[in-house]
Amino acid sequence: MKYSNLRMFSIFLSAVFVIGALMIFAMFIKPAYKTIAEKRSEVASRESILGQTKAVTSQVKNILSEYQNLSELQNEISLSFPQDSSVASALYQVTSLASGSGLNIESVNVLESSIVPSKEDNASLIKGTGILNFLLRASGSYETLSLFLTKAENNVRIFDLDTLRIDKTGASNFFDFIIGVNTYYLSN
Amino acid sequence: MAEQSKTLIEKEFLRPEALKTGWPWRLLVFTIFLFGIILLVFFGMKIGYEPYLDKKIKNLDAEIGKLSQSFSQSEVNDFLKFYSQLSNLKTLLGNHIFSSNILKFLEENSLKNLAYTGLNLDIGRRELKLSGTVSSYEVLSQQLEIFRQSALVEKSSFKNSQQGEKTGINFEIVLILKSDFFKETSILSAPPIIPISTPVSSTSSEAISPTSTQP
Repeated sequence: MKYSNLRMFSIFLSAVFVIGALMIFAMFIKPAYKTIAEKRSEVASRESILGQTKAVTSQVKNILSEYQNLSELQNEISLSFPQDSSVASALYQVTSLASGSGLNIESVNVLESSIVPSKEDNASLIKGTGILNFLLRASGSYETLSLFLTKAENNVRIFDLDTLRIDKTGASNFFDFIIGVNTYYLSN
Repeated sequence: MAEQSKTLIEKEFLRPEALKTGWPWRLLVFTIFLFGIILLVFFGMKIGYEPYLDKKIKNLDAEIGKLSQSFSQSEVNDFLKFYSQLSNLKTLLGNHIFSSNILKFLEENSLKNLAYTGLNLDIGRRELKLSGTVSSYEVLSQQLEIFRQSALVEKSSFKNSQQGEKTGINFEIVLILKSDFFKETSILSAPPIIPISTPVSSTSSEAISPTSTQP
């Protein structure tokens, strides 16, 4: 082969390699680099999640181990705010308070209200509050009512007065009462 | 002789330089090297780095999944119940109604010679409707003034009055109570209101609360 032809062929081949290199860069390396960058960011985010999960897990483990030792406290809290409506227990308590105060109970109605969701920041985790409304029709003296209200507000299970109606009957210091009280439970 | 040597020198130095021509192998080698590097980078990324990252993502996912299963769902549910109880109980105790405050308030802020015959309390609306009998309009206006001046009353309004046949003047008053009225300390923090002049008259035995109290 003549030198001139060889030189031309060599230059042509060099140009082919350069163009080939540029084409591989543009068509394969650039997309591959993009994919790799995405995967690297995925790795970084997963590593961050793993770090956070590890921290949260260790905290939760600590809390759970502490919680295992708090069964007594949990029982006490359940007396004030039970994990279910416990209508029978609430009825017993409210009627015992009323009759123990000297009120003559004429009738008791129970109404279960809709659940009130929590207003805390992490409300999605916290279960709402169920409300039981007791409507007592009773009669008695002013002192018996006063005693009942004081006992109800200091009862272990929370009782909140909702409505109160007092009407004078014929007899001296004797009244008809319509007392609405709310008590609460953890909704499921 | 001299001419002959000059000719030789001229021949040797003054003749035009002959350029050597050949194929540019250095350029070819360089481009082959460049092409090879590019290929190496591409295959390094595709065969080496990308599978490595995939494997790392898989391992991290597995580790995260393993961590989240390190305690049972029932344990978590029990704890969430307990936490919900605590959180809700805190709110409930914060809003706990001290209902006996209403009776204390009436005992401390009612005139002696005034008798209540009815009471209607709606705690949600903080509305207290009082009905009763009073001996004169003077006493009634004093009672209204006491309620108006009370730090625990947001708004007081007189609804109506009617001269009764035997029992004096029947009246109806509506009070809107302050939002902290039913808090534990509200009665203690509010100073008692002393009326400008308290008319002296017989105490009604039919009163709900004022029979045994003095404002």
